[in-house]
Amino acid sequence: MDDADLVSRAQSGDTAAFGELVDRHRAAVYRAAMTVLRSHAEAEDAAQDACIAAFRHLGRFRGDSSFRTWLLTIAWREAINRRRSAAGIWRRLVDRTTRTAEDDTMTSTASPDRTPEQLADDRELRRQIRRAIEALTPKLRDTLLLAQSGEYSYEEIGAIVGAPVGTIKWRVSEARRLVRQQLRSQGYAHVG
Amino acid sequence: MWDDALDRAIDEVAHDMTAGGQHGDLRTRVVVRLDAAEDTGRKISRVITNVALAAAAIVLVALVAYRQTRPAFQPDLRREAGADVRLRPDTTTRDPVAQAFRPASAPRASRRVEIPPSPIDALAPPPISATPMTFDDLDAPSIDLKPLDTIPPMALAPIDEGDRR
Repeated sequence: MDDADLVSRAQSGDTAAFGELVDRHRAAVYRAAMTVLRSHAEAEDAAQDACIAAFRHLGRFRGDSSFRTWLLTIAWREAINRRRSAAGIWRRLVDRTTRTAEDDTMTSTASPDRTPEQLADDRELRRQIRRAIEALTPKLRDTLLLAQSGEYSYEEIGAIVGAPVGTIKWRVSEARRLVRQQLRSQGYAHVG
Repeated sequence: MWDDALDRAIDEVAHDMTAGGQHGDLRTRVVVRLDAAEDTGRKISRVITNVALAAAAIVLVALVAYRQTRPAFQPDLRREAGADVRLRPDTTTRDPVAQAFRPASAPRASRRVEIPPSPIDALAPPPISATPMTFDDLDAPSIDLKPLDTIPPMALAPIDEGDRR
């Protein structure tokens, strides 16, 4: 059964059919929310609220775009609203601090063939790249994260953020250039 | 070469920044919330319906009880018999019989109040008797007014079309 059939059933109030739709696109919805919020807990909540909102507004879905793109747009707006709220800033800050420490530990254990010095260098480089990405403007950072998440095409990203594909490509390129520039300024001239 | 390697590192980090999450049970949580919201809506509508039915029943019972306990209208038979009832004269209509037998020349009662003579009236002065005054016509010549000289009419030529502005 394709999305259109499930949407039709969900529009008549079938929550199980809508649950199937959610299951199909849950990873994309979560990553879209995570791109904006960068907090696991916040992204989970935003994804859930976005799905609930989508079900409630399912009557407005006309099929002009795919259901997946429509759902992602809702999730994106939900996440943007949460990012702007003052209440979520503190929660994301705490969650991000915890997550950064976990990521560093994972990096060091994921490459057993490298020497401890190389692992330390890798960990430091990743930390610097992360800082450089987080220092980007929201438009460049969001577009780079969406593009590198591996979940979306450039067309989908354009539909989600409301920008032409050419603009999306330029933002990704510009974000990479700025991150490289930031790393060079910190003395990184070679990555091995 | 260095840029390619760095770009790969950037892409990996960017990918990891949006990874993770226990979103496997997102479907379950969403469906549970939707069903719960639906149940809540049903409960609310059921409560509203029950409250409305209960209110209607209460009103109906109260109406029936009031009708049964209200005293029925019973006319007072003693008053109907007229033993001690005094009817006041009808002042709204005139009696046609009395109107017919009233003499036509019978003087109507004057509404003016007669004031009895007072001893103070003796102190009043006698009335003054005087002849009315007459005025003679004035003997004066009338004013002679001369008529004004007549003004001869002026002859005016019509204005040309070009001079109108």
